[in-house]
Amino acid sequence: MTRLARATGILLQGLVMGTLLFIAILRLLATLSGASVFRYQGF
Amino acid sequence: MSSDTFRAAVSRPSLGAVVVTLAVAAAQLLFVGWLVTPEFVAANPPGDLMADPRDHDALVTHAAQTLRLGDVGELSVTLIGNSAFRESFSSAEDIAKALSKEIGRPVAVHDLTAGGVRVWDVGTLSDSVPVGYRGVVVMSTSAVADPALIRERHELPRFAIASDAFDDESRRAGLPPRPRTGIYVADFSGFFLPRASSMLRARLTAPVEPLRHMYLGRTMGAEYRKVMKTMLLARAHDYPKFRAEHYAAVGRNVDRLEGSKVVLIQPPLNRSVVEPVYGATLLEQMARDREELAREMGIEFWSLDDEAALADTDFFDYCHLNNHDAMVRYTRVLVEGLARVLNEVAEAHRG
Repeated sequence: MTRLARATGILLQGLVMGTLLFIAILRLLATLSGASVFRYQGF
Repeated sequence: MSSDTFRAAVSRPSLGAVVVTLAVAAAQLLFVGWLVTPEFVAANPPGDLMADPRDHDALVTHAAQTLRLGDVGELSVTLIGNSAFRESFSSAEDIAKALSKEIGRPVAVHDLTAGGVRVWDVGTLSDSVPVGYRGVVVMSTSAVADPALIRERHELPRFAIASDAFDDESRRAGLPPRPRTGIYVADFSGFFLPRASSMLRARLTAPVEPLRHMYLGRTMGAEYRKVMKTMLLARAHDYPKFRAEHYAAVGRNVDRLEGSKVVLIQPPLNRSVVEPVYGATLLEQMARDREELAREMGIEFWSLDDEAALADTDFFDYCHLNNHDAMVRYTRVLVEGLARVLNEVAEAHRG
């Protein structure tokens, strides 16, 4: 029971932190690449 | 006892949690790489891809992938070009409806028009026309510009479209083709990264509703007029310098569509604004150059402003229409021409 509780806790922490890490990686890559959505100015 | 253990495992760092964190992040990255493919883009609404209603690059990417992966056997029209062309007709749906009525069978219309489309972008978009395409490709003329400007697009592609034509044009400008991994989102990370949050938002809520026309009911302000005049003067200055290379690139775009019926179109032009800057001589040379190119390539060249009875007051600026009535007139004339050419294509395929 204790091992199951510990494993579930670790998995939950990993799931949340992993998702946050995934979002952070995307944001970091977006910043580093300097990519942006093209804005047409009329010409 | 076990709830204390659970709380401790959730809240305290541990090697196990670090391993799971890295595995989850890696799995999500791999999942996105596996999920987002050209097929995924084509299968979902264009609004799922758009950062905002004016994100025409995403709209065009969706249309291009739909065309590329669609049924080549269907009778269809592909419209490729710049904002002046995009603003000239009411909508692709209106053209499809009118053409289907004229021809007496369903006709699909693929709208690949976006602001600031250069000749190398036309090449990229034309590359989406599949081999064996049974239809008409209408390609708008674009501003004559320094061919070296392709470097900007090479560094940051605007469309998530793999294109041999673009690679070829890059090579001619001395730029090596961008390396490809075969993973769509990785190869076009510059397109997808700034849209990642909006794509997620659209999937969780609702797709973005595209804004088709950007100049309806608008008139030019003094500041815009000033900037536009400077831009037109620069174009007039550049035209003699770059016209030969520009039209050679247009010719290559037409050549790459071998087997398809191609029409070159001059989108609406407000002569009352353009002529005082360009002068009548340059305007005549531009028209002559385009007509000559079309003759050499054996394709039709259309300039429909007179037939659509466009007046100076129908324009926002030097090329963008600003009212629905003018768009309807232009669409009607465009449909007449397309119906004639499509009938020829349908006849050729029957024969």
